[in-house]
Amino acid sequence: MNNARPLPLEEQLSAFVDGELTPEALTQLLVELSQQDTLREDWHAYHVVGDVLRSADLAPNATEAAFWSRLEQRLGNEPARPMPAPVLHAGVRNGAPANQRWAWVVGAALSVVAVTVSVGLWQRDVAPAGSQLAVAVSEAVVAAAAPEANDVMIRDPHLDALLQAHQQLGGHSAWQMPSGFLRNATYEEPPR
Amino acid sequence: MMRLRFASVALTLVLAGLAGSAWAEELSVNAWLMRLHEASRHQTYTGTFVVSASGHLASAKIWHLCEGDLQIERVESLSGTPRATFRRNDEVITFFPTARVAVSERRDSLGLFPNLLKAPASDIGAYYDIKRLGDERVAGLEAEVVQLQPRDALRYAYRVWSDQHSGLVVQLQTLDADGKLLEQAAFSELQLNAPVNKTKLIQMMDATQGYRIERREVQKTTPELQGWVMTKPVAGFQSAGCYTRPVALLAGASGRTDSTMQWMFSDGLATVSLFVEAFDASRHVREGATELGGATRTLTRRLGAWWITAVGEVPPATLALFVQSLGRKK
Repeated sequence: MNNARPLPLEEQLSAFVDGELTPEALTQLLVELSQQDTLREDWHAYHVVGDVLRSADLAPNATEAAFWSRLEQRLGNEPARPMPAPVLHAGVRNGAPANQRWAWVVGAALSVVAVTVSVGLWQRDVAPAGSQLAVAVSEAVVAAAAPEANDVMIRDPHLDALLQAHQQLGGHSAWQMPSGFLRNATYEEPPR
Repeated sequence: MMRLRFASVALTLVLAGLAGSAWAEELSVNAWLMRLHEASRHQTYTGTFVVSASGHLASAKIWHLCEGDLQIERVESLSGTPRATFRRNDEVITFFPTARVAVSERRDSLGLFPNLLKAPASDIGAYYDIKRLGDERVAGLEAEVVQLQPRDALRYAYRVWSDQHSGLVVQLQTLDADGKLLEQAAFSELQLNAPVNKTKLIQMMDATQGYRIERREVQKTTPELQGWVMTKPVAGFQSAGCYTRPVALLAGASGRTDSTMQWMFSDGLATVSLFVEAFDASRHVREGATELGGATRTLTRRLGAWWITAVGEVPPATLALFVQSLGRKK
C-alpha cells in the first residue's frame, strides 16, 4: 500500500492494528518492533486499553508478564549460537500468518473499535517462537553430519511434522512390526 | 475362522522350521525376517516397552491382541506427553487427553513388508550379512541374538533379540559403522498369551467423544505424475510408494494448504522419505542436517523452486546421496 514506507512508525503500528499493512511493511515493522522498546510499549498499551475496555478478564496478567520478561532475560544470557539474530528471525517468520489472522479478526469482530486483538492472541504468536528458541539454545549436541552440510540445531515444528509423516508410512521396514510401530508410539522427541 | 487360524499357525510352523534348518547351513536373511514377521502377527501379549536414544528414555505400557486377522494394540505412554495410541489393523488413533485432540491415521503400509520380501528385486541379503551371536535372556525370555551387518556404508547395523519359541522381537538395537549404539527399543517386561480384553480395547479406541479429531490423510500418486525422478538410484533402496498430503494438516495451525509430496524408499530394513514442497523464503531458511539424536537423520536442501527434506534411519551420507539424486523429470 502507499502507507508502507514514509509513515511514522506509530502510524504504521496503528495501520497494523487496523489490518491495513502489507506483508512487506509488516515484516519491516516487526523488525522495528523487536528493536525498539518504546514501540513495543506502545503496541502493548494499545492492546491493554482495548482489552480493558471490553472486559476486565482480558487485562494483562502480572504473573505472565513476569514470566515472559524472565524468559527473555534467560534467553539473553544464553551463550551465542551459530544462528542469525534469533528473536528477529522468529518474528519475521511469524509475520505472514499473524497478518492474516489480524485481517480476519479485525474484519469480523470489531469494526468500530480500533484495538481488537487480545493479549492472548499476541502471546499465542509469541509462544511458539519462544519455545522453539528455548529448545534451540538447549540443544547442544551435534554429532555426525552430512558432508559439506552446515549443522544447525533449531527445532522446527514443520520438520517434526515431516518426521511424523515419515513414521506414519514406515511400514516398509521389517522392523515395523512390532518394534518400529511401538517405538514410534512410545518415543517422543526430547522435551522442549 | 478356526480353519483359517489353524492354517496360519501351520504356516508359521513351516516357516519356523525353514528358518530353523537354515541355521545349519546358511542363514537366509529373508526367511529369518519372514519368521519374525509371522511371529508378530500371531501373538497376544502385554508388556512394557522402552526406547532409548541419545541419552533420552521413553517408555510405554503395551497391550497387543491377535484374533484371526484382527490385530488390536494399545500403547499407553509412561513418559513425556500423556497420550495413548490404539491400532486396529491399519487404523491408528492417538489420543492426547490434555489437549483433547485425537489424531487419526490410516497406515496402509503396515501390511506391505511381506510383499516387499516377495518382490523379485528384493534381496535384503545382498546388502546385509546375517550372523548369529548366541542366546541371551531378555524380559524374562530366552532370546536368540542375531546381527545384521551392512555390506556398505549406506546403512546401519542392527542387533536383534527374538524369543526362541515364538520368534517375537523383544529387543532391537541400531548401530553405526563403528558399532556405536544409536538407538535401542526393547520390552523390559513381557507376558506372552496374557489375557487382553478385546471389547474393552475396542470401546476405548472408539471413545472419541469430547475430542477434536484431526485426520492425517494421504493421497497416492507417482513421482512421474509429480514430475520427479531419481537420476541415480541409491544402491539397495527401492521406491516404496509416493504420496501427497496437505501441509496444513502437518504443521497444525499454520493455515497453509499447499501439498507436500512424500516419496518413500526402503531397503527392507531402513526407510527413507523424500519430502518436496514449494520453496518458501520465509520458512525455508536452513539448509543442511539437523541432529535429532537416535537413528533418524534429516537433511534439507533447496532445489530451484523446491525445498527438499530427506528423513530416514540411515547415515547422513546416504541422505545426501538421495537429495543429490533427486531431479526434475526432463
